[in-house]
Amino acid sequence: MVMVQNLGKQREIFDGGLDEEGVRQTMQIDPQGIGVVPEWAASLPVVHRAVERGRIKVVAGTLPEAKAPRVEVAAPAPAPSTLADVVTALRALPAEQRALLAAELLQG
Amino acid sequence: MTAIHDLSRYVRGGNLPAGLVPLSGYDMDAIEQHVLAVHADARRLHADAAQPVSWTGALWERWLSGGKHADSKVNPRLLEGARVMLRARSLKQRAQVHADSGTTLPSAALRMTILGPDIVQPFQSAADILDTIPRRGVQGDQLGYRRRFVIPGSGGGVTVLRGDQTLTNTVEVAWQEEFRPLHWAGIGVTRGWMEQRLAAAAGVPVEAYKQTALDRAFTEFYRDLRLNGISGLDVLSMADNPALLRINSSVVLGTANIQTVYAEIVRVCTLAAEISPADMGPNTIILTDRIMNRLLGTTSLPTQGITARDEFLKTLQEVGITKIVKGKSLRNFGGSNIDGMALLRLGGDDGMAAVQGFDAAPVYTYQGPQGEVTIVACSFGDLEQPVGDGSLIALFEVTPW
Repeated sequence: MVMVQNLGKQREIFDGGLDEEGVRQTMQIDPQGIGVVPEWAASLPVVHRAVERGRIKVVAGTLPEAKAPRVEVAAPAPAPSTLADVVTALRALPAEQRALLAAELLQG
Repeated sequence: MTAIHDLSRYVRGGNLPAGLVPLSGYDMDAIEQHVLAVHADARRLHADAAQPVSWTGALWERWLSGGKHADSKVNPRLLEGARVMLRARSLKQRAQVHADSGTTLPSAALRMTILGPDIVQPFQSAADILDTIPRRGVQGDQLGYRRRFVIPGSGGGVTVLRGDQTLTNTVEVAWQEEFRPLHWAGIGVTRGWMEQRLAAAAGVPVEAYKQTALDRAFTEFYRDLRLNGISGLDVLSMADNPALLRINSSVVLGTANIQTVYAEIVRVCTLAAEISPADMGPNTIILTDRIMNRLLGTTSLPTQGITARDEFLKTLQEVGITKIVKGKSLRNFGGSNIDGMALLRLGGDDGMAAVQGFDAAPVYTYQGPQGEVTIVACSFGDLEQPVGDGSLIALFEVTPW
């Protein structure tokens, strides 16, 4: 268990990235506030940095080794770039829309 | 090289940090009388002859003679300070001038305590911070001023308004005031004797060189004051103003993919707008060139031809940010390669302002053991933030180019 105190006058929010389920996690410490740090937060590089800079003091326990959290968001699917890709994308449309599209194209 | 010397802050007594010595027999009224006397004397001397004998005299005669007072080439602060410039040939003459004016000058051997390290002059403008945050003038010779802030009308404690109110639809605001100290300071601008000789030998116009040095000292002093404050003085800055929320982001700009970088920066900006229960969120963003560069040159989505930066600018409009300022002052604000991005509410009655009392003015120049020293006096207060909601500084680690 690690307890820390915020030595500054500003409320600090520490971004913990995403947990295993993809939910964002953050830790907030009020000015001069003391509290127990969750396990996932104790290993955050930003927390380690704050301790090194003297903004936060560890009052009980020791911080585990720093480990960068998962932050990457998924990249969107690439856009179709060849005719084959366009046809594939169109084939994936519902039947009704395919029929409408075909009628449009045949009309010229 | 310059250093900050505590000259007159504690002239009136009061609680002194350890190591500081009050300048006995040298009070604020005397400073003011001296300033006015020197002003009158300089005018009289200027009318007599046009022979510069020191850089201050040259400056006075070059820029302030014969109706050139409105010359826009002179930094306005220096123009203001020029009112108190001395024309002095020697210590003996200066002593005579001051003796005539009836005031007592501190001797060249006065003991001054250095409050901070030398101000190294980086080659970058402070326009992003100093020109963006407006100044609020207060009477410069007072002991303190009244800091304004807003408290919730629901009867909460006397704190700066933050975003954790239970009121969801409306918020009443009431002005409160708190008495805060107004600090006097003296800035010693030291031009080493070697510097002086080198400048003269290279053909650099000495007057212009010295004027530039003084101007740089002002700029760096005020920039550092507003960003970091002064250790040992109770003056609020961006580093410790309780109205500013501080966010430490785990996304490393330059390592994470562009979608993540863009999403994170937008998340911070929308938070700033969201946590304000009233329409008092930030309207200005100050970010560094490095943060902005990480958004440049890369499409935010492969299907679109616009960059992440363009998307970001549109998003800012959506959250009410009307002014974007890019500069270098917040570089390394959170540590080495940890840049800051500030979202602030500026302008109007409820926006952030830098409290300024007596504007910086040269008061006294003497030849010290390490070179020529010009003592400049000024007074200043906090970085005032009447409404705190939504204003924040986000720190991002940035990988070098």
